[in-house]
Amino acid sequence: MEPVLKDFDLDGMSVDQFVGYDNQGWLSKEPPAGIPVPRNLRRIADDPHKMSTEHFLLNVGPSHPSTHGALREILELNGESVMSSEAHVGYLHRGIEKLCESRQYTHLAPLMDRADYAGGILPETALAHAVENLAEIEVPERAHWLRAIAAEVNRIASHFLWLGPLGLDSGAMGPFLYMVRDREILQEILESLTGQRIMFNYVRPGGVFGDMTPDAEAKLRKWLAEADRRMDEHWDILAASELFQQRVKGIGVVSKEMALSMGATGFVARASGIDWDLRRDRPYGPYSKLDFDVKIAQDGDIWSRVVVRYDEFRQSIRMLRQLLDGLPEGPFMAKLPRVLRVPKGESYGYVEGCRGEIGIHIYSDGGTKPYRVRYRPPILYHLAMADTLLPGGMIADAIVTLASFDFCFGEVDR
Amino acid sequence: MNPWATGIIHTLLLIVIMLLNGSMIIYMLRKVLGHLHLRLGPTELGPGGILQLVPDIVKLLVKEDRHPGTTDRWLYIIAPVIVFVPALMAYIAIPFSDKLIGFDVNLGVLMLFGFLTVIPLGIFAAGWGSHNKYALIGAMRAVGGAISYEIPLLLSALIPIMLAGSFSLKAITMAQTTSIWYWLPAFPAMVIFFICSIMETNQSPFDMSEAESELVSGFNTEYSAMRFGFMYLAEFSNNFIMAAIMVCLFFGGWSLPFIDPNSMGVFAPIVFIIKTYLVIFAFMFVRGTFSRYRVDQMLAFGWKKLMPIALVYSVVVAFFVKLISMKTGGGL
Repeated sequence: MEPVLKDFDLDGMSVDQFVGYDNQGWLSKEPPAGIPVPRNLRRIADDPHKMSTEHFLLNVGPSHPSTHGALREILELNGESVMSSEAHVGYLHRGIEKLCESRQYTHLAPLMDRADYAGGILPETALAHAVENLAEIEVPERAHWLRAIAAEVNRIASHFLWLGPLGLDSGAMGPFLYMVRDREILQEILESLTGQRIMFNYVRPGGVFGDMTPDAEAKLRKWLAEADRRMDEHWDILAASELFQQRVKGIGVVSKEMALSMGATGFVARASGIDWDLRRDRPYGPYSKLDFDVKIAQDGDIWSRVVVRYDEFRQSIRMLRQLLDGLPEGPFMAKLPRVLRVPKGESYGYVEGCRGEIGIHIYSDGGTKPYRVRYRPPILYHLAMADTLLPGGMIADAIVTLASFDFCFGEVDR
Repeated sequence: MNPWATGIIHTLLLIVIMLLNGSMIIYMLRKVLGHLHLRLGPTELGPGGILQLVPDIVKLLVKEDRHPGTTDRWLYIIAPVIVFVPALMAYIAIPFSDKLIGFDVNLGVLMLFGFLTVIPLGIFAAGWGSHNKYALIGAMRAVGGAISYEIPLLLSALIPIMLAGSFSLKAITMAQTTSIWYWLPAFPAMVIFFICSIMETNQSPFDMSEAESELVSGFNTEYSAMRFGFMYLAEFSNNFIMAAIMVCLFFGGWSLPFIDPNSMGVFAPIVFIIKTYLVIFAFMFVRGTFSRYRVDQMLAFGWKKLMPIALVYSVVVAFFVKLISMKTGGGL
């Protein structure tokens, strides 16, 4: 029997030896001798009669107003305080990596939209990078710039969809609706540019689907003209509020060591003092020609992440102005054969995604379809930190900490 | 007139007032919070969407009255009643004008607070009887909040009582017609009372027992249909009662400055209700603006900030009231 994941090394074991657990958290069967069982699994499977009577298990999710998709978090509570926590993922698994194996290289972009449903342009771009590297496609300069414009617009839209719900989870309903107002404008710009609101299918190997439209450019210039004022307003309405600061300062602290050892990227790493941004340090597309800063915060708490991300908004706005003014002329799509044949080999395409490094690793056996695709979801690595961050806080802290990582479960579960 | 008939008419009148107030606050919630949040609220049914209430209430009334199998049946059934009845009874001591008052007991303020203190008991019964972990946490929070916020609430209500020299809401209102309204001399008390009222009525930023983003829906997670409606009606009614007490204690009740209180006539209840809804409007502004406290922060705020301030301020006011009454030989 072959495992579904082709790159999984069974190391002489058969699939039947793996121990699963049912939806109650109980082990599906007794683990055979010699098979290691994760510590947290063993704890849940303990006899309930031997458990301490003071603590109770609260099952937060997978359908809970604040789990942002389908996260199931088992919290062991002592009154209001969290004693231990355990994240369960996989409720939104649609087998996107496996589906990629049955589609042509030019047909993979829609699956990427469905993986990261908040910022679809970015994994599309990472995929295009991977395919272009392998097939050695020369991409026109204008296509790179159009990709960057779409990506930055989408990044701002995705960040709004993080900051607003962070306010919602801390109990402030108003800021969310103010941010949705601005996000709606950005969605209209993306709709005008790509023809779709969420499932863009815009960035393809070799270039982009369509050229810049006058409507999109006019709307974008109009929004950029007042973007700084809007961002000041968003700061005042949520982050400047002392009640909100009380809720986020010193909560969910990711230390620099932890961020490095757990593979944190993007804003989580930058909020913990790691000076790393793929757009600056491993530039792709037009980013080496743009003038922008990378904000670093040292504390690693939620407040640092808010500060870092507010600056990302501002830098994206700065970049968009430069991108619109410097957009080069030329074709927006390379000449490609109707059926793209990619030579044997493997390649890794990456972008600085909305939430961290999005990487697409493609293994090709020389056909028209990939042999194996691996999607690196940045949030999965951040989620892995949650089990060590939540204990010691309260329920409310746990909810806000989870919200501060900007989960997108389409991406985590794929 | 037959005393039974009068009693029945009074009770029916109270229920009508309560229902009207409920619909008014639902409409205000939608429109005031809506405009604070850049949305319009209902617009389609009737002028300004005002008839939207009708299908909403009909929906609550005709929904299936279901309750989950694992609940503590009697607690689950009786909890909305425990929440609803005190909220209804509290109306009888509110002076809408010098004549329009259900029952002018001379300990009116105490009676009102006595009724309101029963409500957390009902919330606790709802949370316990629901057999739901979220509901249980919400219920515990409601009790913890009620204990820590009712003390500063009562202490701050004590200041207008000391200034007027009476526990009767009517007498406190009348005392403010001859002197200034008490919000000025009792400004810190007014602020504390306002904050504690928000807590007492379970509104953001103190909506601990509901805390939608954490506890799904808190103590009323398992409730639906009209039982849920009763919970909400009681909450809206509490809103009105707290605002009305605040108007009586600090904003001169049904009186207006520079107008002879005896010549107000039919305008007195209208003035009173307008003032009350202005206070509710202020509640909603707070509700639409801030994020929620964490439960330990909320308790710390109540015990470490509000209570000492209220305590010290009441001692100071008591001292001055005594000083002045020794000089003049009477009240203020």
